Amino acid sequence: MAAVFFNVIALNAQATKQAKLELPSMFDNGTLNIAVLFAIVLVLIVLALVKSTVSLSKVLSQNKGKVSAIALMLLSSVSAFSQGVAAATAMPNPLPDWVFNPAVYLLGFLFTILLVTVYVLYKVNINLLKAMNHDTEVVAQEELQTETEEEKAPGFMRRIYLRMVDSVPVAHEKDILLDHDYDGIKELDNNLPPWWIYGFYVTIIFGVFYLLIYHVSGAGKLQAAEYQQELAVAAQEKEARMRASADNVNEDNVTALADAELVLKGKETFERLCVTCHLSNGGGTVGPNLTDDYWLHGGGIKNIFKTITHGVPNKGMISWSSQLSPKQIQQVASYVLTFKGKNVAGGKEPQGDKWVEEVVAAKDTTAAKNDTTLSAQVNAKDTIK
Amino acid sequence: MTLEQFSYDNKIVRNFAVATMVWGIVAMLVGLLIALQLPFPGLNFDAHTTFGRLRPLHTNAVIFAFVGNGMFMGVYYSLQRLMKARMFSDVLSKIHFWGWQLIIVSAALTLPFGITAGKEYAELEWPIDIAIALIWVVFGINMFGTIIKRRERHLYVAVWFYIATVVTVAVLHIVNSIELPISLTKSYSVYAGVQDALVQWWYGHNAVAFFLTTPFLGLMYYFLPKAVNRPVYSYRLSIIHFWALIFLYIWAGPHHLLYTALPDWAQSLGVVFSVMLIAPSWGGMINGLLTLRGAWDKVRDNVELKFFVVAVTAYGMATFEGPLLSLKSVNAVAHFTDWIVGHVHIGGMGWNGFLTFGILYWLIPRIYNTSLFSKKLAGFHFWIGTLGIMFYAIPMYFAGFTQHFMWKEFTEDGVLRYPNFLETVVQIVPMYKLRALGGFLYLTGALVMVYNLVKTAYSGKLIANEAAEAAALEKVYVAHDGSHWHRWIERKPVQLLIASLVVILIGGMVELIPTFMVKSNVPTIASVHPYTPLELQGRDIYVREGCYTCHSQMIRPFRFETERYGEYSKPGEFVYDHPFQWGSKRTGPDLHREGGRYPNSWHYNHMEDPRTMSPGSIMPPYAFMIEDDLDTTTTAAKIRAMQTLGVPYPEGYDAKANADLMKQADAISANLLKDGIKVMSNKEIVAIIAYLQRMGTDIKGEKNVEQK
Repeated sequence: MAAVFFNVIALNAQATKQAKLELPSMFDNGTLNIAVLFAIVLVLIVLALVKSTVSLSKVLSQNKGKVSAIALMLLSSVSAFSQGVAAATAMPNPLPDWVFNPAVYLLGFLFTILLVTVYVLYKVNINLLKAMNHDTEVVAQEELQTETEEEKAPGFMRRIYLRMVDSVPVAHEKDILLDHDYDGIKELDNNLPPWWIYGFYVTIIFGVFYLLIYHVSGAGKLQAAEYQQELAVAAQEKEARMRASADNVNEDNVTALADAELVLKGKETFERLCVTCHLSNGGGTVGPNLTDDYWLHGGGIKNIFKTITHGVPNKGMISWSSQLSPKQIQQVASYVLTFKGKNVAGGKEPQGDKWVEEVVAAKDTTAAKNDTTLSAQVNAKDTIK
Repeated sequence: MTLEQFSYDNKIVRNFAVATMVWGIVAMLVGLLIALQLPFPGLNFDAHTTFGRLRPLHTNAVIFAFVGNGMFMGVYYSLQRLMKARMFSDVLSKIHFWGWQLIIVSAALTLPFGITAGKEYAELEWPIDIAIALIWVVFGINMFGTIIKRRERHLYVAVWFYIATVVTVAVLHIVNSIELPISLTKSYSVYAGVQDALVQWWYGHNAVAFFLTTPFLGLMYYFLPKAVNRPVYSYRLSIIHFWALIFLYIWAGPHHLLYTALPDWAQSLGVVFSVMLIAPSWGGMINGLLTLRGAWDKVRDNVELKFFVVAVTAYGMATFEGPLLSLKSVNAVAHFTDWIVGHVHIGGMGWNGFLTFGILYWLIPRIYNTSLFSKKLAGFHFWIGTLGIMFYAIPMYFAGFTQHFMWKEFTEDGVLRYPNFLETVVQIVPMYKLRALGGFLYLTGALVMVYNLVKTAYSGKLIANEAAEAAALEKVYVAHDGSHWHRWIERKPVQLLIASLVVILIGGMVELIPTFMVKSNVPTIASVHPYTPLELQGRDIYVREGCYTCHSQMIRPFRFETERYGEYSKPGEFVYDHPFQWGSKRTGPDLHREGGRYPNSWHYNHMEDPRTMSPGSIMPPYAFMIEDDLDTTTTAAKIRAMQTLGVPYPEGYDAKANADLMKQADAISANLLKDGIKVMSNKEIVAIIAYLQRMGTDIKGEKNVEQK
């Protein structure tokens, strides 16, 4: 059931992907993630199969590290999905590119599921239709017939099936009819279905092992430990990112961006997160006016960057460091600077102190001029979009 | 051996049938309205019709009015015939019927007015709780009286399920509803925080088990073999699955609280017992479906069998999905999302709804001595109902997955991709529209059924007293004759009752008692203090408005939650929360660390009209809180009640509480004025802001929370 469902979602997602270059965000994440997860299981199975053939085993063992790295990347997110493909294709390897393209496995897997589902539904429907057209007598007779045939040569699968079901055929049920009669309701004395009782045992064993693993041996991580591990992994990743990016920004080295493209990104973030308190034009409602020359926590790129990063919790400005990366904060702060001197109509009354940029006057005017042109550029770009 | 002449009381069955249909339609209508309120918040007309107040009305109406009356209808019909006796007392039957309807009416008259205990599926206030307990006892006496004067030596499996139902529901309802009243319309749960949560979900989960499952399994065991006229597949299977089911079910409650502040050991018990429940649950489905063996041809032309087959299948799906949802990794995805809403509606619409419809189609023509008015309309009902379930469930699953994965997605820079919760809501609003369509289809089917059955009734005449005859039981000692050992207890209703009581008490006691007695389960946090009087009043407004129907107060220990909301919730933070308000669904964001996140003015504007502060929000407006005065006459009584419950307010504080309350309210009012908002300090809005600003702040800024 669930498989069928995923199937449908993922096929939709796939179709949308082909139809449009830009993915709608619904398919951007979750559903596809699950489908990818399923696909990975299949990839692993395929790899296991491939590995068993001697001729390819050497090639794969050389590539083992790379393959599992790709699998991990696929798991982490869909954005890593595309990176995974890129990484795979960038690597020199003796196998054709499509082997490393997860989309192939994804589609292959979904197609398999689809086939299996259709087959199962077909079988069920045929059986059901057959059953629906036969009354009890006919069913009983048919059973007798297959029984006599089977006495000669019951197939292997059929034997397993019969053993797992262990039910007395309708034709023989008089032998196990109990003498119970409740308002005409009678009861048969069929054995407990073995598949059912074995399933029950399995769940009980699962339960025992679960408790042993989590509460006796201590091998299983309980939620607090699990969380600490998650944090540790995130911290590691962050460190790696910081190392990797040469141009990382902090409140000491931040500068106002001049690239209209980047400032436009800042505008988008501002429109998404900041406008509830500062209004789209920066005039302020709950939060202060950003278009005048007065600043509560200091103007200029460094102070604005600092205020956005750490927030001023007792005044209602929250810290955005957990939601925005330093670069994004730089973009937003740069966009905020473009409000400078606009003194929009209907804006909130000035709060805080007048801010004077600590630079020589001449430079300041150019900076202000630049700001105005930048603001115009950003708006122009925004309109085009 | 002489045959005794007697009659079955069909009138009481008919009455319950009518009540089932009437309340069923009402419950579904309210459901449709609240389903539409999500995509169209304009449908929150006024204070009485906000989502927060109507959602409890919908759940209570479905569970206790629609399914409850359906259960009584089926039990009163089948019990008499299985016992070969008329109901024990016609007077008790009448008291039961009218008492129950009165309870439903009082629920409908209190919930929209915000009179609520604030615990899911147990929202009704204490006077109604007492009425429920009394009427339930009446039902129990009537049932047992009938069993005692039976003319059938052995109790059929359906009756075992009825007995387990009566006993367990009584235990659950009473334990969970222990409240300390401060007035006729307001009480506080005597349990707080973690303990309240455990008791509530022990109750909530087993309300599903013993109100929605066991009685309906009993009904299935009667009506399915009757309708198909085939012997039940396996007597031994029914014994094993009955006892295993009632023993295991009661343990599984904590699976509603995975990854919360509930102690780990209790969570793990919830996991393993839920997984072990698969087989016992499926035992019922197997026994039902295999009873149809050799008679599937009847399903082709018999509409009630169609309903039964889908009901039993839906039961099988829901009881397989339930244990899966109890695995912590799956639960991490599903919890707080619409997946759960989809899951319960498979159970509610598929299992309870369709089984009830099937029974109605089977029983109405029989007690009216006629045949069904239109098979075609019944067929239409079947198909549109099935379609309705699909249209309901599939969008909910889709919405659940989508929203969860949006919640947890990080960008390459290690920050949340959708930091604004609203983005994840806007994304699934189309699913909410589809779901409403599903509900509409289902309701349409039900209306068609009502028309069909009314026509059927008018075409016949009610056999109010159906003549029957049976031999009296000889009052002689019958030694156990060496047949199946279980035959012994089937002759002993009282022993059966005691045995089921013992079996269901074990799990509950093992989980509840240590949580209450062992201190390490809820480590004390020194910085957690009782609410101020204004905050306490604000919290009661929060409870009154049913904010918990859309907002959780439980941040789970996941990075994607702590990044979004702040430090994860600790058990010691809830020790003064009577009742707990952890919630089970996030239609809006978690609020546990809401305190200090936004300025007072933001909350003021947001409560007045959420869409001014959060464009696209689907929250109802609460402008009436700006108009309405806060009732401070209750403050003293509330403080005293809290003191009784062990909240450490100083001696005699009740007399000073209102002075403190006004001081804090004035401060908030003054603060709002700074942002240009003029509001009197005696308005409700001030109290709710005070509470929201307090939430989760006790341990804010403390690097290492000391838990002793």
